[in-house]
Parts: sequence; C-alpha cells; structure tokens
Amino acid sequence: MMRIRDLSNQELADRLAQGLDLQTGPFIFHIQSREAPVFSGLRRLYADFPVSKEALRDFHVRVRRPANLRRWYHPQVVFEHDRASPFKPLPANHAFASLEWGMNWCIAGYAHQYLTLHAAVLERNGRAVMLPGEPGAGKSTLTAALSLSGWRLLTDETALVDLDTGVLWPMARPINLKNHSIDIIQAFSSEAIFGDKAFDTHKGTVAHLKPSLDTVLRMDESCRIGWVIFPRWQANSPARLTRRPRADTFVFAAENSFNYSVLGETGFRTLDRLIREADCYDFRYSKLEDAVLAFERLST
Amino acid sequence: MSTPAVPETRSWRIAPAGQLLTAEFDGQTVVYHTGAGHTHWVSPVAAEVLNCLNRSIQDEAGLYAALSELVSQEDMPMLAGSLRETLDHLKNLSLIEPA
Amino acid sequence: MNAAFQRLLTALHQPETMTSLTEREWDALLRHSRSASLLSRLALDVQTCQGWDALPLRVRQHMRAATFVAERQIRAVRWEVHKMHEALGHLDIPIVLLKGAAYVMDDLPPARGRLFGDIDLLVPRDRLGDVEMQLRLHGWHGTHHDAYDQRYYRQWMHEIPPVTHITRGSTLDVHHNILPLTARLKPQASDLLAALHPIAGYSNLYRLGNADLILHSATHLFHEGEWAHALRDLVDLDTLLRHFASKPGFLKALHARAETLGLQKPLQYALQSTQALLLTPLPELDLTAPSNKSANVLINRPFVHGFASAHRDLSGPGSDLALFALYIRSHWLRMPMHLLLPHLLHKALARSKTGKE
Repeated sequence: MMRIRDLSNQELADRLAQGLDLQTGPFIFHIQSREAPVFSGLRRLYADFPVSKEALRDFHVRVRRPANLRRWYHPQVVFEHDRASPFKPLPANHAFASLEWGMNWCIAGYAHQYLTLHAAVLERNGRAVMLPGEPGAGKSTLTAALSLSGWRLLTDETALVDLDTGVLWPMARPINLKNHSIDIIQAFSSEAIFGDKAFDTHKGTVAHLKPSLDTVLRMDESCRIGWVIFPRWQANSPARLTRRPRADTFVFAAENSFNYSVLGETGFRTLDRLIREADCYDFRYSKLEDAVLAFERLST
Repeated sequence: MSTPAVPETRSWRIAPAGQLLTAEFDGQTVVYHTGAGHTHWVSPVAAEVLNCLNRSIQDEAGLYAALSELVSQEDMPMLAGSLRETLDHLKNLSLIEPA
Repeated sequence: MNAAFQRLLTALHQPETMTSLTEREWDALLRHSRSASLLSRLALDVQTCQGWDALPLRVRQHMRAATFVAERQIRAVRWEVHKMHEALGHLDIPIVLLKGAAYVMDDLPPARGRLFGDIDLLVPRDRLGDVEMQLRLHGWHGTHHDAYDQRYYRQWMHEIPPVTHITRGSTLDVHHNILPLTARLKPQASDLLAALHPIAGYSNLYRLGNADLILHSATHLFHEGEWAHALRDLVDLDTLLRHFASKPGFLKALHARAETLGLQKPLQYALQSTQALLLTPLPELDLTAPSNKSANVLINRPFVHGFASAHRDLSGPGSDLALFALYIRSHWLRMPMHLLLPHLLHKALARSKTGKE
C-alpha cells in the first residue's frame, strides 16, 4: 500500500496539481491544489495516510486561487467541492486549514450513510469514549492529550455512527487546535508534531497535530461505544466524573448532530442504541495530567 | 379579554403529518416528532399523555382518568392543573393539537 | 451533447444500465446527478429495477445518503403544508398546491426521490389580502421590503413577495396565476380553478387538474431564467407524462387544454424536450406542428445547454452564451420591452450597489 511518505516531494507536488487521492477512514478525497501550505500539511501531517488507487472517490475538492485580483494582491484561496465554493475566500496562508475545514464540511453535509455527531472519539482497550463539543469547554485540548497518552484517535470533530450496527468508524485525521491549546499540548508531550500555524483565522491562531502512526494504521477499525463524557475545564477543579442522565445526553447529542434531522426515524433509533450502550458523565478538571489519569482508570 | 374556561371535553391528538417516536432511559422519556423535527426530554406526566394519544385520540377527561392511575393520592389535587399545563406545553412544542 | 450528459440521461430513462457502469463512470455520475438534484431519483430507480446489489458499495452509500435527504424533504413538505393549512384552511377559498408540494400531497410519481425548495401555492387573486394576513398572523413574514420589489411582485408578477416562517425558516410562494400579469401568454386563473383535484385529508386543499399539472410544469420550465433545476423539472414532466399519457385520449385532451389556456408553445417545447432527452413514450405519435420551423431549430440548442447546465462537466462550448440567451428570453417572455429595460437596469444597479459593500 502506498502512503504519502512514499512519494518524493516532486511526486507529491505533481499529484496534488492533478489531484491526489487520499484515504481517511471510509472516505477517499480527491484533492487538488498548488498551494504551498496544502503541500506542507500533507507532507508532514498526512505522511502515514494511504494514497488510494480507487477510481471512485467520495469528494472532489480543490483549494485554489480565485480568478480575480486576489490571485496576487493580498492573495486569497478558495475551497471548492465539486467546483462550487461554499465558503468565503481565506488568506492564502490559511490554505491547509481551509482544506481541513472543507473536508469536515463535506462529511457533515453529505455523509448520511452515518449518523454524524459533533464530537471527538477515542478508543482504548476496545471501547470508545465520545466527547461531545460543548463550545469553549476545552474538548480539543483534552482530545489531543489523550491521543498522546495511549488512546487511539478516531476523530477530533466528527463522530461517524454506523446506522446498521451502531459501531463508530474512524477517520484518524489531524487534530485541530487553536491559540493556547497549541502551547499546552506542545508542553504536554515532546512527541507532539504540529503543522504550520495559521494566524488570524476566524478561530484565532490555528494548527494541526499529527495523528500517531497507530491511529492511522488502524483507520479501518471500528469499535463500540463505552462512554459519552462532557469535559469542562474549570480552574482549580480536581478531576471528577459525575453521572449525567442519558435522556439529557440524548437531547444534547441530537442537537449537536450534523444530520440527525435528515435521518428522521433512523437517526432517532441509531442515537437511542448509542446512548443506551454508553455510560454518560460530566467531567470537570483543571490539570491535563489528572484528566488523562482519570480516563485511563475508566478504560481499565 | 377573559380567558375562557377549558372544557373538559376538548379532544387531543398527536400532531399529524409525522410520527411520534419515544425512548425511555432510566425512567426518563425522550420524544421526537418526525414532522416537527425536534427532540425533547419530557416529564413523566407528559410522557404518559403522549403514550395515551399515540394509541388513540383522547379527550381531557380520558387523559385525566389514565393519569390518575399513576399518580399518588397526595398529588391528586394538583393533577388537573398539571394536565392542563402539560397539554399547553406539548401544543406549543407542536407535538399535539386539538382533535 | 457530450458523453457525460448522455450518461446521465441514459441512467434516467434506462435505470437498468446503471448496473454496468464502471467505478470511473460512477465517480462522475454521482457528482453530476447530485448537482442536478437527481441522485436520489437514480437511487430509487435502480432499486425499482432490482439493480441495487450490483452497484459498488461506495455508490450505494452515496445513494443511501441522498435518499435520506429526499425522504427528509418529503416529511418537511408534509409538515409545512399541514401548518399552512392551519393558517389558511378556514378561509373557505380554494388553496391550490403547485408542483412539488402537489406531487407529495397527492402521492404522484414525481414526488419519489425528488428534492424540494419553497412551497408554491395558488389562491384566488381577490382573496390575496386575507391570505397574506392569515399567514402573517401565523408567523410567515415577507422578505422583500423595498418599494421597488413590492411593486414588481404585486403589480407585475403573478405572486406576492415570498414569505418566510419566523421560526421554521420555510418559505411560501403565493401565486394568483401561473404566469406574470405582464407576460405575453395569458392563461386565465379562472380556467385553472375550474378544473381542480381535491387533496385527501385537508378541506379546501387542491392540486391542478392532470392536464394543467403538465401544462404548468411545461410553462414554468420554458419561461425559466435560471436553468440549474431545469433537468429535474424535465424529469418531473417526463414522469407526469408517463403516468397520465398511458390513458387513451389523454394526449388529445392535453393539446385541447393547451389551446384553451393559450399554452401550446410551452407544451410543444416540453413534448419535444422530454422525447428527445428522456425518450418519453407517447402512445399517439406526437406531431406537434411547430408554428415556425426555423425558429424551432434555433431554440432547441440553447434548451439543451440549459438542461446540461446542472453541472459544468455536462455542457460544452457555447454554453455561457446559450444560458445568457435563455436568461434574456425569460425576461422578454415575462415583461414587455417598455417595462423590461428599466427593470433590468434597476437590477443591474442594485447588484452593483451590493457588490460594493
């Protein structure tokens, strides 16, 4: 199986110019771009990912310069899916972040063969923990720390729940971190490998963390849910798990799903099965190391 | 304008143009109407009202009778008010409507 | 017509051929059909002809996803119609559902696998005021507030400005005829209202008569300025024709009705287009006599470009010019020159103003 790291710089650049077929879990993205940040992002963060040989790709995406003045003057880039741009243009040095957000958009907008939830998912000892995305709760930082502490990352953003079996499917893609989180994680582990920072995005300073080799090699491996945990960083708080009613968790998950309403009854039944199988908690913490320890205890 | 007295014989049904789905977790009920498209966590009284209406159209007297079976003696005096509030609440959520 | 467009058309009128497409061909067809809002339709068709299991897994996944979207939209239409009826049903006037909403509520074949936008209604012109008021009371509010737009709709067009629901965000387009007051063709609303079919389960709710359904769809399509949804609309027409035209005498009655309403030209274009592109089987050999043969030949090529405009890959050179011609033509059909020119100027100025912001 050919992986990105097997391509020379020239080969990678050439493929990207024509269209590179990248596999991320169940999806194949046909990515076309001549932008330097896209090249470096793929080179460094997607090094272990398979280059697909399939003729049928799920999403055709491009990151390119617009055909106007902004091609050269304060250069911008535009993300396109199948030659249509759903977003406003971004500064050219945000090209890789733009690709990542665009890929998330494709999955959230089209992949209704799954129930998709806005949550991080990690697995350890055969069971997954799902961390739903309460804004400002520090979920991404915790996700990154766990992924550097023996947990296999399935996703940092978009949980894929199988409609027929209820298992969770991975994508294993780089973790999106912003501002302070980047520094915290860099300090947390010397093994953390980051892509280039993009400054002044709508989320502030943004960078992506390279997923571990194990995570990427196991991108075809699904697993069952163990826990749904709502993490919240709180100053001076000891690490503490408290039970959260399943009914409340259900409603929150439904409201934070990308496609629950599209799926109708199927979405309801799938979420029912998922929540029923999971132990649901609220989690408070202030020290990242305490949090990691608490999760480790949970999974043994 | 004075509020008209709610007649006990008003009948109710689950909002048509969709299905009402329910799931119970640890004694608590979550409901979803496929037409209205929203998901809610409802009280035990509301859950029972919806259960009854899911089986058939009911008037308020019938609902009151069904609920009396489940409510303790000391809660009985509050049942009528509770039922009326619940019906209003469920109507505002577009889950039920007058039949 | 290029190969990609032909492949999409063939998939539509011969769904069993989908089972022999290669993965490379699917890579393109999935995107093209999705762009044309027809992927869910293909999904249903391939299941109907028992071809589902022969498809590549990845194709089935995309089709399954598209089917969920189509089913969701049907639920949404049913709900919106229910809510609209809560607002308008007691007015004791006929409320006529048009196009997509009519197909859904009367369980007509075009509803299968279709994607829907706004809900279109037709009501008697003299009751528009009551209708607007009831809608406003129930949470629908107007979106076009400037005086020019208001006048454009009320004085010239056949509809009031679209109204959007304040919490649900759904939009209703309320018409009093199927063509603008200023248009060159002038079907009489009273004729349409005299031939309605009731919709079961809802008082005062109707759809147009069988022939009028087809004529409305044809008229709307061939007056259209933006052709992005044209292929989907053509599929609707083809589906309606296949459904109704199997009954003997229907086509004759359809032509007669077109004459009554003055809609022979749109019908002629419709029958030519569906037969040419979707191979609609019409029992009586349809020899619609073009009133002007040479104009006919010129018109058809832009139409093909119009239908192909669903995706960039489907059209070839000359497409931009053809689409522009269709755009101008639609305005010409809707408004006489003395109104059209100032209107286009106004639109151009308004657009350049917002462009500067």
